[in-house]
Amino acid sequence: MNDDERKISEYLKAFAPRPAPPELRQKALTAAEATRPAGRFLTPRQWGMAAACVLLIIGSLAGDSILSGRQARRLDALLDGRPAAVLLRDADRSALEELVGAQEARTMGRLLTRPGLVRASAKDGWPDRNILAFEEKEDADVHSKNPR
Amino acid sequence: MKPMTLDELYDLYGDALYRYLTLRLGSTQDAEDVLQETFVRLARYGDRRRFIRDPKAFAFRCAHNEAGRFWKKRLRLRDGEAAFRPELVSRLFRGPDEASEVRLGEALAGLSPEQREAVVLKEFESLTFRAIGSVCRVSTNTAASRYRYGLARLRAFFGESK
Repeated sequence: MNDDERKISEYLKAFAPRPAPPELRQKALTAAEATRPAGRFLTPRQWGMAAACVLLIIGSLAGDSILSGRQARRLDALLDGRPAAVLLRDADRSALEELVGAQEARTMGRLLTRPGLVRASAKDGWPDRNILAFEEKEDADVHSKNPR
Repeated sequence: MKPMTLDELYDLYGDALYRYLTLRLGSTQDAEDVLQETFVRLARYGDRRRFIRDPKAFAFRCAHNEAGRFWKKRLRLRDGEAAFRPELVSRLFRGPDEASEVRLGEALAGLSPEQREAVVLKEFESLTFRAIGSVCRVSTNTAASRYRYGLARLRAFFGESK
């Protein structure tokens, strides 16, 4: 700030501000108190934005489930009305039968779906003796049902 | 930190906001209306006022925004009109004599609205350049240069009128 600016600045400081009309304080504060929402944290606009976001999230979730359901129905229709999941399971079984033979595939299927063995396997970490014992028991069952 | 109450805000800045709005809007009646709107706006902030770092700059910024809204509304109803009225200066500031008050009004009328705003906020309401920039939504440098250009014009005015 140069000298001229300083002089002007000092000249302006010679003007003292006059107070506002005294009744204005009451008017302004009364108007503010009348509209003050108790404990409100968000403004109305922010509430609107939050509601819009919630609606968007719900809409996208609903849209996703509708679209995926429609897609599954289309796949089923392409597969002669059979549910795609069932067809995939059958395809897996037939591939396994081709690989290891029908008898072995059935045994493996039973082995994998038997709850007691699954529980024991989860506990002991698939020990070979469990599987061997199961197979021996299965063989014994087959031989007792079909004696030569 | 406890937020400032509306009473405290008014006691600290109410008069200053009234002067600022009167100079900006050119009408004491409009300034009163907009000041009420400003305090309504401040009331809506509620507990969030505790996060305000500079309450003075914030109050002036609210007043600046409310004045802008007021003008937008008014311009829809009526065509634009001159906002600044030099004769109001003597109702807002007490000078050494009546003639100097009139001259101050004439001098301020010679400034652009932006320069006048910067000069009034700096000289009469003691805001920093940073706060002025925040109020007017410009950079600190822009606020400072507006003030300096304004002072240069005032200097020219008072130099010529001597």
